[in-house]
Amino acid sequence: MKHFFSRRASGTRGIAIGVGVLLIAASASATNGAAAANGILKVATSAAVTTWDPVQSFSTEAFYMTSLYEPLIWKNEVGAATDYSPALATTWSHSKDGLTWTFNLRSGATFHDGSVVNAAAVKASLDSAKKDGGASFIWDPVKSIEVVDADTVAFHLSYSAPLDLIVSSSYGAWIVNPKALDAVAKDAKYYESGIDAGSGPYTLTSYSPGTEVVMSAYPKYWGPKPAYSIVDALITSDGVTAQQMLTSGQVDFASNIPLTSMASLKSNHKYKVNAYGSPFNYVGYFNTLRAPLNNPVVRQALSMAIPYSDIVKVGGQGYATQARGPVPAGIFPYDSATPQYKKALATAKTMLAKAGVKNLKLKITYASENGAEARFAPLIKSAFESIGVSVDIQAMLFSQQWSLAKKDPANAQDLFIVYYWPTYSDAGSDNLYSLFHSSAKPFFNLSYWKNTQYDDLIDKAATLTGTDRAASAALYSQAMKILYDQAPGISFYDTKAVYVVPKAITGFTYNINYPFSLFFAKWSPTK
Amino acid sequence: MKTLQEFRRYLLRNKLSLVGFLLVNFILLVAVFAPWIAPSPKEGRGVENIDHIGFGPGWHHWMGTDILGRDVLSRVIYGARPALLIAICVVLVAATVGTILGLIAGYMGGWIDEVIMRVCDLFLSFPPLLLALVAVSLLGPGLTHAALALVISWWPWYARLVRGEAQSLKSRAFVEVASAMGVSTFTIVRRHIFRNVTTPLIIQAAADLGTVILAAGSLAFIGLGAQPPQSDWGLMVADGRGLVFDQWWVATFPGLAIFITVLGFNLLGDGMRDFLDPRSQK
Repeated sequence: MKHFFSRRASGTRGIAIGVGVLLIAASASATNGAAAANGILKVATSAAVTTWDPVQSFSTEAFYMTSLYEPLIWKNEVGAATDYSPALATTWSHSKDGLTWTFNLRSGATFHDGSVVNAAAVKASLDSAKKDGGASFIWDPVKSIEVVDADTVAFHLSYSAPLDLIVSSSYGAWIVNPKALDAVAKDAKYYESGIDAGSGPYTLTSYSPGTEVVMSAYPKYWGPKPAYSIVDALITSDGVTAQQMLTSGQVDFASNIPLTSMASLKSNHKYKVNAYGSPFNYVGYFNTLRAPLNNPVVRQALSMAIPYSDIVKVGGQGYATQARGPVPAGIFPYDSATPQYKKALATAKTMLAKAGVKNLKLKITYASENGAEARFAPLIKSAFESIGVSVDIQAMLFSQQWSLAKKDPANAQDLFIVYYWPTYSDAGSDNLYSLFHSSAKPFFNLSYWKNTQYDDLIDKAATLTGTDRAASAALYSQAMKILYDQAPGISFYDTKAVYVVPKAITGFTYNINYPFSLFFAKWSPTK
Repeated sequence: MKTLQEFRRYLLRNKLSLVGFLLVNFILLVAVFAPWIAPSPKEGRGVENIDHIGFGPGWHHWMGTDILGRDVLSRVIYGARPALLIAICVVLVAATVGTILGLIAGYMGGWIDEVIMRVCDLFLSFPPLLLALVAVSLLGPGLTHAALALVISWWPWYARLVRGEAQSLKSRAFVEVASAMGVSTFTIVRRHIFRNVTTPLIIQAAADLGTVILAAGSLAFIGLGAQPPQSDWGLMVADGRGLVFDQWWVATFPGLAIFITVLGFNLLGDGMRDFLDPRSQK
């Protein structure tokens, strides 16, 4: 099973000093109520587009993909009456052994050029995603896809897997017009100008790289007609600027307002601040190949020095909870019984002394573009220094610290802080596997930790997820207990997804399974 | 060279220069005596105080507290140290390197002059802050690397200034006489050329101090200069930027500290130029 990612981290700091600060403060006036009129929804977002190719897409363009494309089925948000909702498939079932899954397609669904969505299109799309997709690894269990008839498609698996979760993935599971698949095979730049080949409620009408994405309602959409006929997304990487655009009425909604601004917006009668469980969490990898971090006792001692509640307060700004292992709350196979480390400085000091550790110096890196990490990383430095461990802490671009960790473990950082989330809603086959399962070459297993007992549990659990979810969860829980005991990494906190929802908008929902996406087709102006 | 007494008289006559002089000396004293005057030296050095997060300016914290509950006044006071240190180090090293190369180029002339000046042109073809940004991106973030990056982008200005002065002095009678009398090249450059370029050098250095503080603050602001938990004004403005709507004091006071310091150096620099270079006096 391969788990290869090509994404992580976003967000940048703008450049402006002194005068900039004063200008921002001076212009924070509020004249809300921008463009929601005339069916146009204006949105400020940090979501840049790395590709419009739905097969290759594996980054922040997911923000738009859920409006332009559809999967076979949608995974519902936590607390919904059912786990899944029909999208392009209306019914589905699987064989008792979990090796064959059958999906019956919706009649009347069309791609944006008017051509019919059929089983051949589904097979072509998902074969392409399995072969060339940015998230191709999610299709590893699928041996073949069979067109049973025009409206029925069957998946044959080489081992049992939760295919309902896979086909509803937020990456690599979109059904694409076969004409576009043929076109991109001939011309790799086919999508470059900004076009779509989906069947979703919106179609892409205009794209200015790094600046603006305009989507218009697709008139022949099979489902309800969106209330907003146009969604105009202004790409604004800076959260403070996005907040200013919202409060000054330049946009109707802003998706990237900093957590540190929530307090003031909470007291503003025009908005509601909604916090949702999210799949995002913060993890730290110890470099387990370097002495004395190759000693589990030292790693446990350092884990006990961490001021978890302070980190939750400073990093999460009240919108976070201490993590129980690397699986975020609300995502399978989260287990509320997984033990957590607590701050115990005296014990940590004693354990270090017993392990014979003196004059320990550690190098810690965090992503400079991640505001939360920048806020809480100094707390780790202070905590370690209080038990006699000196720390060199460095802010680096995520890409820089990742390549440092992958290059040569002997010269890599001692503690690498990372912001992580699963590709689809199975943190067993992603977080637990990607972060801590052994592999020949480091990719996301950047603690370089090897534990055969852990590997066996994870491998076995993955094959049971499709057929016996409870048995799979039990094995994953055992694996997480090993992670706690051996402490190859630190689980800091699970963060919430926090949105400022204007009261002028109705129908806002957040779906933990599509963490970078918003479902504009369900929104409408408040009457 | 004019005397200190003349400078004192000049300052008393020129109020703006006096304000600059007083501001610079005030900042210098704050930097030197930071551990004694900061209300909370520990917090000034970066130790957090989580229980005090989000306190606005008041009796206990005159400038409020920051995102980690640290006293902003203490951090602003401690922030004077890296600001002045980097400014003085960068200007000193850049002026030394630039002066040596400028003297060699200006006095020797020929291909040596050509090589040194073309290298200067190469560096000067980039905006100084952009060049520093590229350099520090390659070296990695940190105060020392930021200082090194600023030296890389600053020395050519001194080299070009000194080279021009040296070239014009070289053809002056007193230099030619010294050369005819058999005085060594090193002595001529040291005694007759260098001594005569000190005035424009001092004027340039004084004017540059404020600009370097601003540049170092900009690098820290974008995460390439001083690193947390160090007290650095640019870094503090960056930390407070996301809070500007909720906790305005976190970014505003370090921003004001940069403003006052740069203003002080600029006023003093202008004053020194007028004092040392009679041609520019109004």
